[in-house]
Amino acid sequence: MPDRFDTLARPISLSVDSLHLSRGDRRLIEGLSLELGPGDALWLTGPNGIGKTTLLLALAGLLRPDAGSVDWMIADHRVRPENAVAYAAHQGPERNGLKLGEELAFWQTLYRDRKVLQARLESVGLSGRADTPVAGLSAGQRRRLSLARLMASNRGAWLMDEPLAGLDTEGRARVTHVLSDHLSNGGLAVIASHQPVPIDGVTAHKLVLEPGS
Amino acid sequence: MMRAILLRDLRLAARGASGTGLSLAFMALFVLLCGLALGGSQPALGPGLLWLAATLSALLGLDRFYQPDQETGALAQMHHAGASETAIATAKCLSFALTAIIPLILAAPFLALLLGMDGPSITGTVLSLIVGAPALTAYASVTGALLAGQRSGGVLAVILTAPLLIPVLIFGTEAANVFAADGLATVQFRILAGLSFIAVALGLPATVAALAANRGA
Amino acid sequence: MFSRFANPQRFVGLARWLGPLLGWGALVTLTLGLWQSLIASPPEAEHGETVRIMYVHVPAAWSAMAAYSAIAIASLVSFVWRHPLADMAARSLALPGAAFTALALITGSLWGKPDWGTYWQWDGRMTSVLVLFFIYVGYMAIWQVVEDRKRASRLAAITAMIGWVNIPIIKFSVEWWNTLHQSATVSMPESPGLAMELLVPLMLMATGYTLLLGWLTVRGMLAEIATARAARCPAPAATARMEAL
Repeated sequence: MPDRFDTLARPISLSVDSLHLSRGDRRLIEGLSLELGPGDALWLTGPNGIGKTTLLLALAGLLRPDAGSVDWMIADHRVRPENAVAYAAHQGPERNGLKLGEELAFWQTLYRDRKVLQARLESVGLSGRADTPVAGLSAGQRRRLSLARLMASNRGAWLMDEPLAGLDTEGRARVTHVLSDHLSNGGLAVIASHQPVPIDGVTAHKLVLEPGS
Repeated sequence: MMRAILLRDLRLAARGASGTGLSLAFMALFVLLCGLALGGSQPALGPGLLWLAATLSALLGLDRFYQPDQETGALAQMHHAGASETAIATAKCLSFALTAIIPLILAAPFLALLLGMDGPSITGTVLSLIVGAPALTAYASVTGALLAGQRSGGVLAVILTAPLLIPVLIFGTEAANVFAADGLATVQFRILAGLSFIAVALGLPATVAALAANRGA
Repeated sequence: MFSRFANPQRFVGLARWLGPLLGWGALVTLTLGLWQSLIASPPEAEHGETVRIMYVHVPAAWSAMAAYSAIAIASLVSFVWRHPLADMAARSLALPGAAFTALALITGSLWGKPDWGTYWQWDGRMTSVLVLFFIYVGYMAIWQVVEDRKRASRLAAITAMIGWVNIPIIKFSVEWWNTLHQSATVSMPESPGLAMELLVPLMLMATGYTLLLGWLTVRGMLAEIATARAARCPAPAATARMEAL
């Protein structure tokens, strides 16, 4: 297993080869191939139910492809998705009953994040909110928490499902800032979103999923 | 890592997420109903009734074992954060034992008084529950993991787990019955301990496999 | 080695002649067996006419257990090699297996009345068969409640294997418990060395049940393949278009 702390220091890349995905009995994606490297961002877009989330799940190793392959490489070594990727699902894993600070600190412990909790909270604009119960968080605050979790993961690849949903202008600017920072440090991101996610100074690709004929 | 998961669970339990109180209330109610239906004190049936009460109460709380963390995606996220399914299952089993089983065992002596049981019989029952607790936890864990994706698996959880618990129930009750006369060094207690051992040896890998299947592997 | 048989198409070809063979075989054997056991064979010395229930009962209990073992083995194959036909076989075996379990319970109870003087005897064998019935119920319920097909097949396989490992432990426990509590009751009818005239109908019935089980399984698997095919045609997959920003 590669050292997690050095993930960002070593080049990460993704190679998807003729991927076939289905959910239940529905075929969603057939024969998708793509390559992404350090600093690349891929914006996934398309109508509801087309398979954006399914594709993210497959990239995260949380869904078995019917055929084809998803390969994550760190410094030219094949690694398991869970060692390369942090996945911010549409709904976060936070549990009602915990406080915001406890929730984030839990994930920091699991990811062995070395930044202090306060710094993480501050970077997503949640400083002073550590004692807010998770149950009382707004949709936008949950998005921010999710962003903080990605940062704490120290993983080279971020998979984000609708990262802008429910965010205010300031929140969007944070996402842009954090994401641009991640990419310019050699990170990689795949973002499923209905609205464009502005990113500064990096190459971004757009993958449009459309109903087949 | 396991410690972090366990602490998180205990914290959640302390804030009411584990339903310990409800399980305890159910157990007490069950004993009360037994007393009323069977005509008052039942010292001879006591160990069996307490075993039944504890088993059923534990099974009723089973949908809180993995289901909430499966539903929010926390289990998959923990796996992504580097926690192995074995670590997750072990931590969850420890927290289930601490928050769902041990309170029931602690309540047993008091409920035993309702059934008119005497000292040695109460001690025997409590000791047999302690020896059988790993089996109870392990099979509850398997069913909890199998039904992690199901929001309302209550009755099915009982149907799936109860057959596996039959041997534990039989030897648990018998171990308690013979304790007053023969103490701890009986065949019954040894077999009960053996059953607990087998249950853990089977239950842990089965839980891990079920969690992986529910993650999509 | 399994990939040779993993292809559903190949299986459909095989089933085209295997299915009818099993079906007609079952019909012929069971007709012969029932005629032998109910009419042709003589009443047995110790149990008289009631022995005829045994010809229905004992093979049913065998088949119930055999079907569950087959489910467990198919589950293992499905779990380890992700063999699609294996989990179809396991799933298709469940309902017939449960039906044989129920048949064994009902006939056992009917046989018990004249023989033991009671419909239910808490003996190790009968109680284990009842527990087996609940294990079947749990296994089938997993298939029912888990919506995603792939997930259901893995979870059901785990359930089946756990149940299978536990059956001997349950049987041992119940038998042990039985000797403790029920020692005063009648012993199980001893097999009287099984005379030839008993053995013939018994074996015919057992073979008939096995063939019936095989036929029902093949039919169940064909039905599953058909539904899987029907479900796979709709809604074409998305097309993906890459654009530079």
